[in-house]
Amino acid sequence: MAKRRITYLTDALIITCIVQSARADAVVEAAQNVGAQGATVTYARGTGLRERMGLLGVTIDEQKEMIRIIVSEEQADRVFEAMFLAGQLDRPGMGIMFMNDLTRVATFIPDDVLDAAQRSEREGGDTL
Amino acid sequence: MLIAPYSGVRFFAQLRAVLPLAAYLIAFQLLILRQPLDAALTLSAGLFAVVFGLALFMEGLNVGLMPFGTLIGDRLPRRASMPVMLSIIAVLGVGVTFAEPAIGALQAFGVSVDVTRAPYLYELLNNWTLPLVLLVGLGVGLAAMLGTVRFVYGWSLKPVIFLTVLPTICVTLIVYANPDLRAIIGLAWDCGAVTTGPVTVPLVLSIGIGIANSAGKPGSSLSGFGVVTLASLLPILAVLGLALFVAEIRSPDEIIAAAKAMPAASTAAQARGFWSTSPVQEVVLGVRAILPLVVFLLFVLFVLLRDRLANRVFTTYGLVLAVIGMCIFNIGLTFGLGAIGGQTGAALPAAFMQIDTNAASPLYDMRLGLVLVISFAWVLGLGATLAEPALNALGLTVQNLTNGAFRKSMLMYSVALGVASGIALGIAKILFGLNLIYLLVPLYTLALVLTFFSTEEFVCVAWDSAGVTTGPVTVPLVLAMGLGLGKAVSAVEGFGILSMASIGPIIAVLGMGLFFRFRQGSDSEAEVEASLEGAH
Amino acid sequence: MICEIGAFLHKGEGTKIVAHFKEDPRVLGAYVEAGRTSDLFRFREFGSASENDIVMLIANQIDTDSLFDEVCDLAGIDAPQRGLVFLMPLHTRIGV
Repeated sequence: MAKRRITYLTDALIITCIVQSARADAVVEAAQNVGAQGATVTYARGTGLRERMGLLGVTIDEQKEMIRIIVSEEQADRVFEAMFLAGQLDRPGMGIMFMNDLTRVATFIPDDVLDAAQRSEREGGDTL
Repeated sequence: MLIAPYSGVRFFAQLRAVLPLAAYLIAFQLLILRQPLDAALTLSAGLFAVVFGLALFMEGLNVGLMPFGTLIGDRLPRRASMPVMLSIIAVLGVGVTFAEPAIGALQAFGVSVDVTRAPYLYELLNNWTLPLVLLVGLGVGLAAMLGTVRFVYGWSLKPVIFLTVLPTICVTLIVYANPDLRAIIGLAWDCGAVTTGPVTVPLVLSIGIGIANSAGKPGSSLSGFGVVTLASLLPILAVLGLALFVAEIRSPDEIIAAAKAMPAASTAAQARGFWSTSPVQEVVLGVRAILPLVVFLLFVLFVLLRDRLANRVFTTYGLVLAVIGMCIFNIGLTFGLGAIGGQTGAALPAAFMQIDTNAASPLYDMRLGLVLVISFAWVLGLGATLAEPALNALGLTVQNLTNGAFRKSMLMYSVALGVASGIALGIAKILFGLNLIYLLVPLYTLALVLTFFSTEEFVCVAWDSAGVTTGPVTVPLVLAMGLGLGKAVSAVEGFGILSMASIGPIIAVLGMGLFFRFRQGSDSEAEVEASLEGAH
Repeated sequence: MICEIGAFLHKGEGTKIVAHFKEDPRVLGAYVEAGRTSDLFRFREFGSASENDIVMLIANQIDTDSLFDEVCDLAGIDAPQRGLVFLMPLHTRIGV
């Protein structure tokens, strides 16, 4: 391989959303509909205060799904809101979500996109 | 209280699976066959019991039986030597076969076989029942051992499949060469299909996954699969071998003579005791399918492995749910699904020929009637498979192991499609008197070719799904139909539908995997592989 | 300050990265998780999604610059369809 270069992207955030098992696909779809890309979903197990029931202490759906989506600063609030509504997180026992700042992100960026970005930066426009 | 959403979700999941099937059966009987429904109230209560029992059983599987199996599988390779582990697994395989209620259903067929037309089939089912079940059990035991050895050493499943399927087909051809033995082929291939039921599959799968996790080579996330596959192939070889052996020591004439000498003996033994009256029998069957296995596994865990249950309350709760669920489910089958299936199955031949119970028969002309019957079988296969608990468990396992990438619904629908087509073919075989071998050989050859081109993940799942399709929902419905039709057209034997129902899903799942690769273009996959190579 | 370097990669790639950094003194903790993704990679082996690995490396902020570049290099993310790497500050206390 010739010269390898890493392009850092900044102004990105990661949204983490934990929902009951089998609900993640709907949340991811909602996020994609408002422009998010690259959702990753994992299975996780959780317990919560309000989820205990019965004599045996069987937890309802301790199986959870955890969604992670990286978004740019501009789309962050829109995606967050869409995911919140799709996951019905305003109802009890449905899950929780939060958002963190990322210092930097690196991934493959096609050369033409990179060139265009550099050009617009020289001209004083926005970055990616 | 959150108990309502907790139980509601589970109940409605099963309701969605069972209700369309029941509605379909009832609608078909009322509208197409124009037969009134017997005992509608008992039927609905039975259907409710099926749904309720399934929901309990599945929850019990998830909370109790499967984690329990995984725990055993995880501990076995660490605490026990290889020979000890293999013998435990072999014992489990034999035990599982005896617990499987569908084996009994095959034996029930034996009475209806005409001795003069299929002497060896009659002989095997009536006088060699114990060796037959024992050999099938040994086949399953051997398969479980082989499967374990396979994933401990990280062998690929593909060569194992080639090395088992090819000899099986060869022996089938040898048996076919002897006209007196020909009728055995259907029985042998069906035996393979029935060995793996709603308790066996989840348990074997979870034990396999446990062993693969703690002793296996790292690799595919689905490497714990493949045991069920072998468990449905080796019994075929065992039964065919037994048939060849019997053919060596007894001639057809002897059998026919012996059968004619003692005609009334079997009917005398039919006296029904308390244990075989209706609700009691179902409870006994349900308990028998789960309890001995669990007791054996507990013995292994406590005595041989000297271990404890990590989460005793949960596991006990799950096991109790599974047993109760299985019993309720069995009762529901008898009074609900099985009853509708029996009614419809008996009325079905009226579509194309004259039968006694329906004065208006034949309802349609021959050609339309046959098309109706075969398409009825297709939809029935589709619905029954979707309601099958073992398939549910397999789908769930696959989905969990791939972190949801391989969707449960996707697997279930493709398997159901395969089973439906298989059953339709099997029914066609009976109606037109086709020889099973003309269907088996080309279909298995196709499956082998597809296997060769597929990825390991899809191979494992596809061949395993063949075993799970023939469980407590499908078998009684299909057998009732097959028996009714077989009698109506006076076929030599009604076997072969189940073996068709096993090969169907293999082809369907493998085909689905190849379709995904084809649709996305080979370049996107090659791109991934090239970039993976280049990075290191 | 403690930071997390995370990566969404192809299945099997995460294990290699964690194995590489296991003995590295700069890394306070290295974990890999298995997940699924529907739109990160173009190739989806199960039709609607494919399996992937999620890597989590915990390190002091002073070391993150060099570690980040090393992870990028190991993961080969300058080629298309390889996944992405990110750096996230963990502001609160952390126990190691």
